[in-house]
Amino acid sequence: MAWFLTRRLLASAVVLLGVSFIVFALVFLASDPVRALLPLDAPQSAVDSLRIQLGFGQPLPVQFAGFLGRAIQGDFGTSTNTLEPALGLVLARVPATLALGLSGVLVSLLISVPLGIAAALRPGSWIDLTARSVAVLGQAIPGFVLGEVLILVFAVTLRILPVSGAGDPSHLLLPAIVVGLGSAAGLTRILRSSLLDVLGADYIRTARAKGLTPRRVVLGHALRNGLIPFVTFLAFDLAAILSGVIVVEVVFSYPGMGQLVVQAVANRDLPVIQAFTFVAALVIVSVNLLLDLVYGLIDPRIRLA
Amino acid sequence: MNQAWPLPAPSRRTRRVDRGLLIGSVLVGAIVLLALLAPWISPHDPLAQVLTDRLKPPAWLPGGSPTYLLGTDATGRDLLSRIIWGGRTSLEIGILSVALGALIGVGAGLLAGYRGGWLDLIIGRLADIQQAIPFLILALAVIAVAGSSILNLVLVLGAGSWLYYFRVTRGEVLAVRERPYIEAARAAGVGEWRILSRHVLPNIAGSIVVIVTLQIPQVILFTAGLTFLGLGVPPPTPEWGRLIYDGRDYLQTAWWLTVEPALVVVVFVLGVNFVGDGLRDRLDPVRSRSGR
Repeated sequence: MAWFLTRRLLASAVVLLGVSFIVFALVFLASDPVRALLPLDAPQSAVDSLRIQLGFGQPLPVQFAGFLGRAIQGDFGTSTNTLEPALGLVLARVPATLALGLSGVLVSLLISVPLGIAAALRPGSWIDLTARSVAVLGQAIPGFVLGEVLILVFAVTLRILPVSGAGDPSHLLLPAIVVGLGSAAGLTRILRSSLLDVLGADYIRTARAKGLTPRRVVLGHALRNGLIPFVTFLAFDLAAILSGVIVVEVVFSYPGMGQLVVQAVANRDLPVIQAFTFVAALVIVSVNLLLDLVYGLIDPRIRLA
Repeated sequence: MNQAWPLPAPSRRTRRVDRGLLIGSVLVGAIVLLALLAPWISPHDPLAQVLTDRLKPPAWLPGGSPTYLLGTDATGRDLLSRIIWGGRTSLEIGILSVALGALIGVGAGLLAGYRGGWLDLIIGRLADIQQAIPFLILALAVIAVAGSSILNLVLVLGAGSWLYYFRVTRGEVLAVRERPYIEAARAAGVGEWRILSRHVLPNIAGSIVVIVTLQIPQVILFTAGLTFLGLGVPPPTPEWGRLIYDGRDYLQTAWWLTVEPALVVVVFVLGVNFVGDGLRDRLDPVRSRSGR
């Protein structure tokens, strides 16, 4: 177990190092990063002095090492927009985004687990087809449309939920539904197909033969084994879910990281984009690590692998 | 206690026609055909503005006219024509970027899976790295700098999706690599390239076709998301995401502007998913043997 953890931690560190290189390289997307940081009418002397001040004259590896050194200390520079430290700006938004992301995943699980089971029990039937259609419907409607329709219905017409913002759980409900519906289709499909694989296995026949109730067979035997591809897919999908969260945050004016970073892109506020990308990668890598440990709980055979 | 046993019988041999595959093929086929025939069947020029016919409702509603079957938008452009031409743009972006992603991903997956070793390690880590970054932000940043055009969208979306194909291809190659027929080919002195293209690729083509199918609507929806954030296909080019986005300002007064293109996207995504699932069930030899 310790060896497994060490290896996974090392791999995560390598990934984060790679991410920080990409984050660092983002600077060079703009043709001249120094010009991009300054107002359009800045004099050449100001450009030159900032260039030296920011260290762009040095060779690339030195620049990257310097960037990495500062990044590890949490210094991504200051936002070119508000002049506050970029990392602080991003970190202040993390709890809100995490709350939305997690409730979105919860909604997604509440939809996909029952639908996936129902579809797998009668493959090819109308139940199967309906379950899959319902799941796909949620995914097929672009998040921003669904969001605005929900706002129109529940906030503007019925007035039972707030239009936008954050604070109490009622603010979270509509955005979470939009995020959850977006990823429910993929999860339903994976659960259906992995359950179908499992349901044909010998130990299911044995369980049936010894007279267990259908509920015990499905929930106790099949689901537990069918969950492994499901969790893998969930982990794989995290970055995509985060992308969905970003759009949803903009729709609902929800004060999370996504809203911040979309503004940063519009303003070409590079330090904030960099800090966001790094924090997002850190979250994704940590959750993946956590899920790796969860595998051990679902399937004892994986513990030693 | 005496309820019907809900589990499928494991050894059913009869094969029913997969309703999903059938319905899906019809839906997708119809939409693709409409997009292909756009120049001949679209009733109006999708860009022509008729300011006297602004915000006309669809033909079946009061105030609608048979000239504009699905109504018109805020500048009097025919919505039906824009949806048909929009399908062309959306499908173009979807198919081209998926093709690009699949080309990179399958190539990398074949190499990494077959060769293994350090090559596998490096490509695998690259995929891990890309997977840890929310792609939407990377795409936004790149397009904000490079400018939004159909070509740039295809390049960014293609580069962003290679890892899906890579992971599946690599996994399948690893599973196929040690099979006796591959070993036999190797023993017979067949070259590496020929083994990959003649013996490995055909065996994994099924799974790749399935992901490719399922990825096309994903890309179209992703483009819609980019449009919402201001960086999708530039106007006035009709594209499904753009149509839906433009319509949402009129959600309360002219709902058809949003609902109609959104419905087309829904139908398309649904159809593609049915086709993908149907193909998967059919191509998977283990599953099709038991008749599911």
